[in-house]
Amino acid sequence: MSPPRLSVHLLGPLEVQTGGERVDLPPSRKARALLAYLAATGRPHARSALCDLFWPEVNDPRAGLRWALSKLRDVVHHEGAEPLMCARDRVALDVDAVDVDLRRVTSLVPAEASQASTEALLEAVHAFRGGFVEGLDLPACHQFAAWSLGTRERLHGLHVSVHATLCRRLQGDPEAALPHALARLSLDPFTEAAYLEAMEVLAGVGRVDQGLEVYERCCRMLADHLGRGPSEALQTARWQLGSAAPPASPSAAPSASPSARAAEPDADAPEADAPSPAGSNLAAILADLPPPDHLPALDTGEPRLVGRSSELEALLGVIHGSGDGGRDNSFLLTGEAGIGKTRLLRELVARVREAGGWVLSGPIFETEEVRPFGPWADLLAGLPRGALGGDAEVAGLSAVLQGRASGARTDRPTARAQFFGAVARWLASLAEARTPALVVLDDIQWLDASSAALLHFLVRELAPTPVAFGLAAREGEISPTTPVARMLRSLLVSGRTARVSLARLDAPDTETLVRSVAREVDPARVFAASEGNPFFALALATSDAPGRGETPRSIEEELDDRLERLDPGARALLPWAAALGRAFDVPLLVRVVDRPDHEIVEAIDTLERRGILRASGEDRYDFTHSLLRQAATDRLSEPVRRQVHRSIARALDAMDRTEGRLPGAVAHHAERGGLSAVAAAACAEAADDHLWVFAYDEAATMVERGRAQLEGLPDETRIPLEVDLLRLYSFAGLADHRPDDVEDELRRVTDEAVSLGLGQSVAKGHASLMEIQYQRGAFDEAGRSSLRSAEAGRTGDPGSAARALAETAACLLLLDQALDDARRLVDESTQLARSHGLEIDVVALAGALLSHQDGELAAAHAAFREVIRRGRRQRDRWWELPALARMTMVELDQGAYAAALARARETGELAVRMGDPVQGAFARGLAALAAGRGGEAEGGMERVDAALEELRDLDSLWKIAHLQGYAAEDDIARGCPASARERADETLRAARTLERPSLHVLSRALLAHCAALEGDPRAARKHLDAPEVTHPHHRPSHRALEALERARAAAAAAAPS
Amino acid sequence: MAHVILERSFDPPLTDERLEEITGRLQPCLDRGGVRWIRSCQSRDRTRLICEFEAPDADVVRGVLMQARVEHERVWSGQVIEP
Repeated sequence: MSPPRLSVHLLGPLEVQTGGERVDLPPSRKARALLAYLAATGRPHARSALCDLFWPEVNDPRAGLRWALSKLRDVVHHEGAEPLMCARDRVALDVDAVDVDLRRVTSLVPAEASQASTEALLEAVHAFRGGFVEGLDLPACHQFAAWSLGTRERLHGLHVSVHATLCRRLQGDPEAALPHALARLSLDPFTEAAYLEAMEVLAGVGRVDQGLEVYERCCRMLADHLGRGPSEALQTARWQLGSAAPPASPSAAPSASPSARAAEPDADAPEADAPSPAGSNLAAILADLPPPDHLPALDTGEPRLVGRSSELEALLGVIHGSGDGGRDNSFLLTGEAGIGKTRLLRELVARVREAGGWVLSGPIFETEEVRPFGPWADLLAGLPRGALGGDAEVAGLSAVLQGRASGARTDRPTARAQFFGAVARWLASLAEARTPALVVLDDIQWLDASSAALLHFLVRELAPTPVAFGLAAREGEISPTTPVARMLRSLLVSGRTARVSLARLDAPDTETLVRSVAREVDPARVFAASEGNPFFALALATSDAPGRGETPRSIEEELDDRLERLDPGARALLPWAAALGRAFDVPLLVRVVDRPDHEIVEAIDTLERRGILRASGEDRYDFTHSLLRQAATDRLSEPVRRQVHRSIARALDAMDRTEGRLPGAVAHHAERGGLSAVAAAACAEAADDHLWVFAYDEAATMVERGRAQLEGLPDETRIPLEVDLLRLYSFAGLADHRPDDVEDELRRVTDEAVSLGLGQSVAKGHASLMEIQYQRGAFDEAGRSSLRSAEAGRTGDPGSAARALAETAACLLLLDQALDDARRLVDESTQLARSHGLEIDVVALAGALLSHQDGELAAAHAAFREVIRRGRRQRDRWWELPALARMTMVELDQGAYAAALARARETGELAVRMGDPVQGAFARGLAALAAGRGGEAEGGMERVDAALEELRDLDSLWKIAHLQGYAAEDDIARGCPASARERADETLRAARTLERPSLHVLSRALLAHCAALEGDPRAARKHLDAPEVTHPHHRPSHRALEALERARAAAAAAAPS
Repeated sequence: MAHVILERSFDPPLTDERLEEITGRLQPCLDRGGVRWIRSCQSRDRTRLICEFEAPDADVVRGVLMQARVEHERVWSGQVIEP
């Protein structure tokens, strides 16, 4: 009988067993770690390598190794078996002679869990008793610590994916899937997907209460760790658990929900029937609201509404019954194009206003599916200020939706739920002031995903209030997989939304309609041709075609005929108006179309008279019906259409933010015009904008659209664009949208940027990788992307994470690169350190550098002082000299010359003690400047020049550039522009070599100032108009900006009147 | 671009693992700073190391070393003289 085999368990606390009996392990942690290492790797190792791994800092490491091996022999050798093989130079554990659980797992699941059989996965699950060699850490052995950290992480990921895969495979058997869903959740408690999975499985086995508990835990986790509310998917899963009440997310509920507020009178509020002055004011404002531009008031000359009385009654029933328990609070009006949905909505708007109520609506355009919250933004933008109420949060809504005015930042998912809650409260307050209350969204087949999410939320949340929602969509044009379709399905299933379909008119109604506009036509012929489509019927009845009376084949042909009969000027304008895709401003059309202004105005006038366009605001026009816009678009051949889009893209791209630049529109037209680079850049810009308004789905869509444009672009163009697009995935808001290979892609493109010397792109690429790795908790990798993998510590160590983030930020700030990313990293590292009560020198350093860059001098000074204090306290003076030098610069910038002089002397003395000639020379230069400015005897340009000479020998361009910049300022102040120019020239040369945007601007500003003083305004203008000044990579430093301001003033003074 | 030399000695002698760790820390900073590592030369007893870089100036290399917490004795830039 063969002796029982030895088994080594590495998954969980280290254990060795033989015949089911546990074998005592040596007390030495190093000996146990050595056993784990040999068992896990399963190959021979050189003794020297093992010495480096486990005894890096002892005098006789080989003796340590011999001793440990002797202890291990006692553990693993038994009954004649000697699996520990020790040769003169090599050591190995014969893994064929022992069972190692880790090796069994990796043989069962060799690569991805998804590729292994279910049986193999189930067997692998049993092998996992915990994390890799739990509790066996050797922090002093850096190499081993790094290896065990990596192995632990890899196996943790494998363990999670085994459970996740099993959970998916066992979907049909929720009871069997449940343990895997719960196990995955306990292993992976910071991933929303794990909660979702658990909720679904718990719902499947009927444990609704436990599912709700999981939901609540997820909400707390999201709020505590990510600072955001539950995602839409999570909320949907929560609904599916079957509770009727809307979820009150702990993080998202900003205050009492509107429904609660509506249902429970505030004890402090005045009596219900005695509205406050603010309320009565709001009521008056609402009473005066005009109808929405795109649903204009009915004109007396318009055909009257025919044959829709029952539908109108049903819709009015929803509006008046909203808020009345159990009744619908919304309706969905559907029907084919031209069936009269918009006309019915206009009738409804008129009725609500006649009843003393208010209607809010924003237009939806086909080209704007990627303009997040587009209709809501337009809806709010058109309102008087008073209608937004006195609440600061509510008053900021419009600004948020218009762009960046509110300062609400993207990647701290500034709880989209909070934003939604604010909109709901605001609408509820309007309904409290005045009813009936109606929000209308027409053509929702083109509604963007964010607007759909907001609408979904509002319909549910405002169910107990009198606010009603009117939606209209073209029949058959809502793709079943879109967010709009999902939202509609959910609303219709919930029973809160009534569906009203508009059928075609019958012959008598068609006749009534036709007779109301043209008495002489034959209604039977019109009915036969139009088949009761009111828009088509009216088009036929009012047609002035020479062949009138003949039956056209389709409504498209009829519309095409109508456009064909226009005069050439008006006809030529149509493609441009149609291609703009939405209501357009006349100035924009003038900018886009290469024709004299008066011709364009005449053409618009013709189109308006012919009922093709209608005014929809000041200087603003829209097609009277979207079918006409479509007809105008369809008339174009593909090459002409491309040219039209190309011209529009270029015109829109030339606009800046103050002119209402819409990057999404630039992207749309550039894509259709074949301008790939313009499209990709605009997609990145649009995606960045979308992040500001929590529109994560749209942001991800824009990133992918941008990436699709990159193929075929030259590397110099492609690489910066690709980095700009991929870096957007590093924002926490897009975490759920990240492609699996985004890190590989970022590494690839960053390497490409390195090879082409594209510094800014390299910096952005590194920072983005760092951010992604940090977010997924891979602090060891994040540390490697940063600087200090060996010190990154074990996974989850917030100190290591904060240090790694701050080091990358400091690196970017010192190099004056990717400052937007640096800002983000500074924020995160500061918050992380603060929340754990950690004092880390480099975190303070990064904050100090950022404050100095931004000109927050007092904050920068305090932060540099803190860097020094922390370093001294931790007996680590690594950053002390640079911090002292920076403090001196801050004091010079503050005009505190005596303090700067003292600081420079202190810096110089420390530099001598630390043997740093570069900082020593720099300190002497700064001291001479400070002394000169302060009127001290040791001042003088000779001393500055002597320090500069030393720095030239030491090849220190950044310090030369700054000393010369200060000295040039002094020369300018003394009226010596020629000397200042020489100094500024050297600064400019350094800026070019180092590629530092702020130094570029500083030197150009100084040169412009010199030129202005020398009476050469043209030269001054040339410097001020240099591309690096007008289009810097990022906002330059405060010093550069101040110099620029002084130079501009000098140039203006020198310019001929 | 400047030709920049780093000089450093090691006691105890430099191991392969230690060298790998240093270069791992250094490389991202070199990339960001626009510094190209051309080559290095270590003495047979592994106590001395010279690295050759191509960089905008010597101070960029010093800064990169500082950020990566890599100590050095001297960093200087100079002209290449070839036979």
